Amino acid sequence: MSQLIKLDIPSPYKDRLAVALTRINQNEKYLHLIKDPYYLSEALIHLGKIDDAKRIIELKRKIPKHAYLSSLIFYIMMNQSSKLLQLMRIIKKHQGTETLIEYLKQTTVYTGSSTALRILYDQAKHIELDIKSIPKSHLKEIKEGYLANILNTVHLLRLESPIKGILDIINQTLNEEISPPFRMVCLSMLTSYYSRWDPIKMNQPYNELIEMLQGKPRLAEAPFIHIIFANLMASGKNDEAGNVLRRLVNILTQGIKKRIDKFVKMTNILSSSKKQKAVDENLISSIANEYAYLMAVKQRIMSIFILLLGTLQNLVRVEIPINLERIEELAAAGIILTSDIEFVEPLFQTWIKQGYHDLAEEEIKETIRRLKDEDTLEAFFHSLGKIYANKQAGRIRNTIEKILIKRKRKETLIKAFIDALYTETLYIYKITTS
Amino acid sequence: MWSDKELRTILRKVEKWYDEFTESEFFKDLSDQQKEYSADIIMSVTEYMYNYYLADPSKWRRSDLEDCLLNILPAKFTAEITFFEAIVPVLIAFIKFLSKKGRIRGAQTLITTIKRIRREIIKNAKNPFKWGIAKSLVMVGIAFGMNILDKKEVQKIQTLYNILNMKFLP
Repeated sequence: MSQLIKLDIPSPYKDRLAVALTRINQNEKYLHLIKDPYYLSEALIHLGKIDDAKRIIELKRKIPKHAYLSSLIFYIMMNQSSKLLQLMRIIKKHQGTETLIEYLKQTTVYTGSSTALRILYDQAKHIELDIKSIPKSHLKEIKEGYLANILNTVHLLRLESPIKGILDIINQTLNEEISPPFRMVCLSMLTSYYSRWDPIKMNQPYNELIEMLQGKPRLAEAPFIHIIFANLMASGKNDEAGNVLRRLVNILTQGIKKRIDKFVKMTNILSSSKKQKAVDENLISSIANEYAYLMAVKQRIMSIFILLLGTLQNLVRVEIPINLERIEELAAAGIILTSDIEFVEPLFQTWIKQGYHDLAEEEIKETIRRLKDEDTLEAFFHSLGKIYANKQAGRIRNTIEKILIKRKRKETLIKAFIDALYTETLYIYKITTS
Repeated sequence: MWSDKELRTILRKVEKWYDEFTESEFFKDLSDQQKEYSADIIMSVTEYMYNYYLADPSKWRRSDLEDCLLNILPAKFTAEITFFEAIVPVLIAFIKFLSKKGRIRGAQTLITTIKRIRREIIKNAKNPFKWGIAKSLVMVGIAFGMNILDKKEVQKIQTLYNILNMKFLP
């Protein structure tokens, strides 16, 4: 029995924890801890007891907010399309389209349902993004990036047991009017799909992708490159995956050094003692402009790294053989360049998957000791939830349990852990489809 | 006192020893990859042992070698993890060779120590929190498929690091 059940936490969290533990252990040991009928039905569905789940929640009328995801999973598993559509409308109204899409993505990966995939695709494709200050041309690029990320997550996390219909959706997208970077994304997804399931067909999309990658690197590609990289990795094309990342660095650093040098030169003039007495207002204004430009560049690069982080997290989730050392190198690079605590999660996951549990264990303890800032600590506990869900976590789970059940451990940290564990177990302990 | 002349003398001497070592039965027992890394391993350990502990191989002390292999080499030397995996077998073979030639004392103590810390060396080499700044940036370059021998490529990584950390601010 997991030590985590000793945690003194409010009921919905205890329920979510028990659902996650049920998924991990694939048995009924934790069912008695679940008070909420929707969470109980979710756990029962996972154990294949669909009729029991049905008996529990079929008579319920108003679905509470915390049970939206459980109910989506239930309706998908029961093929109850009218109730599903009704629920989708409710979620959209109360929590917005993006939350609905997030739930649909989780449901699709977890259940492997082609119905869920089709609904997800339609919702994501036709989303109305509420970004007023952005020109229409950029909005198209953002929408494509959004759709590409969602499709790719579902595709990668289901690569070992693909969802019926995923190929149709990718091919349908390829036949539409899409930008060259999105086309490359679709070609890369076809490449990884065929590399796994029909190697003879792989060359056609792969060759077209490689040909497109010979073109001049463009800034518009940057938000898509991490997906192309992931699929090349999943196809075992490690050298080409490396070339794609090199292309990304070239795109991201184009012309920046000159701007940094210009900025430094201007600030040096400003701080030189001779000029200090008569400060040129034009110079100050130029420095301010240049600084604002560099800050915008920093933000843009950071956003690309956040996308890369998501890809690394997906790559450590997949069950097909993958070059873990490359993911490890990139996660380390992410830590060095961004200092973002979230990059430690894929790094520790690769260590665990390579059998370096002792190293992961030492660094988890060290990170807890080192972190003082509450928000960063919360982000790290979120990462611990994902690490705990790793099928190969083994003794790391005991280490994490000891950290969590420590006296006076803040409830916010435990909640962050459980939220992540609950979601991550949807991605890792999927319902198998034929 | 550290001297450049002394370092060069030691390195020349060890280079000769290394040539003899490659003809020995100890070298023949190594795997192909270990043989490939052996020169870099022996010469870099020799260099670090002198730079940090002023010791040439005949005077290597157990505690210094342990510190060098655990803390200096993994933090400063940039290489793939297979290089660090090869350190222990290569050094053991080399120390056995030196011992047989009567060029080193306390060989068994050194060998026992090296064997004990084998996994720790690899762990430290894998751990970015233990890397120095120079190694960190080169490792970033490797991770992003850059040619780390090309100055322009390295500069791009430096730029990326600078902008993300705003290191150019006065």
